[in-house]
Amino acid sequence: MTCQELQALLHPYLDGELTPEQRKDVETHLAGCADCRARLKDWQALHTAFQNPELRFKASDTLRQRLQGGLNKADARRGRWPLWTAAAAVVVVSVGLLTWALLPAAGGDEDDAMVDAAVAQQQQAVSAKHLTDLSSSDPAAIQAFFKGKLAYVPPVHDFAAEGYALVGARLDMVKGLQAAALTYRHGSGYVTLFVCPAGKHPDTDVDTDTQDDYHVVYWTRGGLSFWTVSEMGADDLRRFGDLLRAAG
Amino acid sequence: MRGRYTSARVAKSEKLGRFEQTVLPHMDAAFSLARWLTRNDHDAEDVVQEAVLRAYRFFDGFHGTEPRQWLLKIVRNTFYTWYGKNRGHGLIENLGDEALDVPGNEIGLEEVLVRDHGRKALMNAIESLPLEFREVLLLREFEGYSYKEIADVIEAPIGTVMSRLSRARQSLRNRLSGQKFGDFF
Repeated sequence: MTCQELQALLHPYLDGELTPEQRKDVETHLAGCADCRARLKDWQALHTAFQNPELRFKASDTLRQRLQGGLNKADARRGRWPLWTAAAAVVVVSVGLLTWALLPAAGGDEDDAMVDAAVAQQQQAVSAKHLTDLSSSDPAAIQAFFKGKLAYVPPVHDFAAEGYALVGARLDMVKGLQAAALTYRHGSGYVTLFVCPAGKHPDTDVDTDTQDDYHVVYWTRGGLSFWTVSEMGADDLRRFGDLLRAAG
Repeated sequence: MRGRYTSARVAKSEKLGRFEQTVLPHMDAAFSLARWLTRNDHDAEDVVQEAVLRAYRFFDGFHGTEPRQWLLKIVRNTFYTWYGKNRGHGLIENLGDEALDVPGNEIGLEEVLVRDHGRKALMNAIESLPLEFREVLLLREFEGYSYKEIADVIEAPIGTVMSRLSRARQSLRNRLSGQKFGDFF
């Protein structure tokens, strides 16, 4: 082994990532090469320096309190309301009505989590600049791409004439479910449609949500749930949803 | 007030209880990662706050055995979302090849690191690393993660982790003992 070859293995060696055979080769070389031993010692010094506890930051008490407050709030909003809220609602009718209006609808919790997951997937795809596995404006080609990958065939349409041009598709995971993700271009932006199996959920009307600057318009139909996610305006997104539902 | 507080606490859900026991013990690790990525306390706290609430929303779907790794992954993703929004430019900082091209110089790292202000110099050098280098180094040195675990957190192949880690250390070395050394004092 030359010194140059050893260089390539030195970090994996220090990190304990080599096979026993590779380790032996490295150690044999090191035993006979003072230069490489010096290099190794240098990197070990760096590793030791990293162990200094002063290089770790600790969460402040203020942050911990903020987190606990945020969690308690999220918990109260999603789960059962704290008893005092219910009591207040009984005593003051107007407050009671307001509370009622704020109560999540049945299934709201699940939908919220799904909106969050769909937005997170979309943000990740955007930041990785990987919106599509297959670039194509041909609905048949895209359906063929999903064949064998998904247990269902998502409906695929191109709405280029209406201003929403199909640009491609990717296979994605949303909340642990495999989903077909279809991407369309609208003006200078993109909209992605996630299609996942809805199980036995009945058909629902269109709903809208906003999360991290993204709008989500979603509905369930025929055992599939449809989630359109975009940074474009909510009206543009609803129009896109109307097109999709009209196309069937 | 006391009565209200008590009854609200009683109504705490089983989910929150589990979350507090499983995830909250890793708050220092979460903050430390966010702090090294954002390079300031204020932004790090915002990122952690957002990440923890996001983790709580996703918690039903978490069935793994590594809550710390799971949380750090969410912190990292939340950071990149924040970073993309706040920096207004692409996520890829200049990786450059300076890490590879600058010839080694005569000052040993060991010598630099034991000097006065060695820790401060190291901190500055870490903070000045491109994000892609910084994150693999933090996960390796502070969390002690294997290449496979790092690959999982940053969602990249193991080969990428290995090469970034080598380049990160070389780059750090150049910053500490190369021509830029003087900048840190």
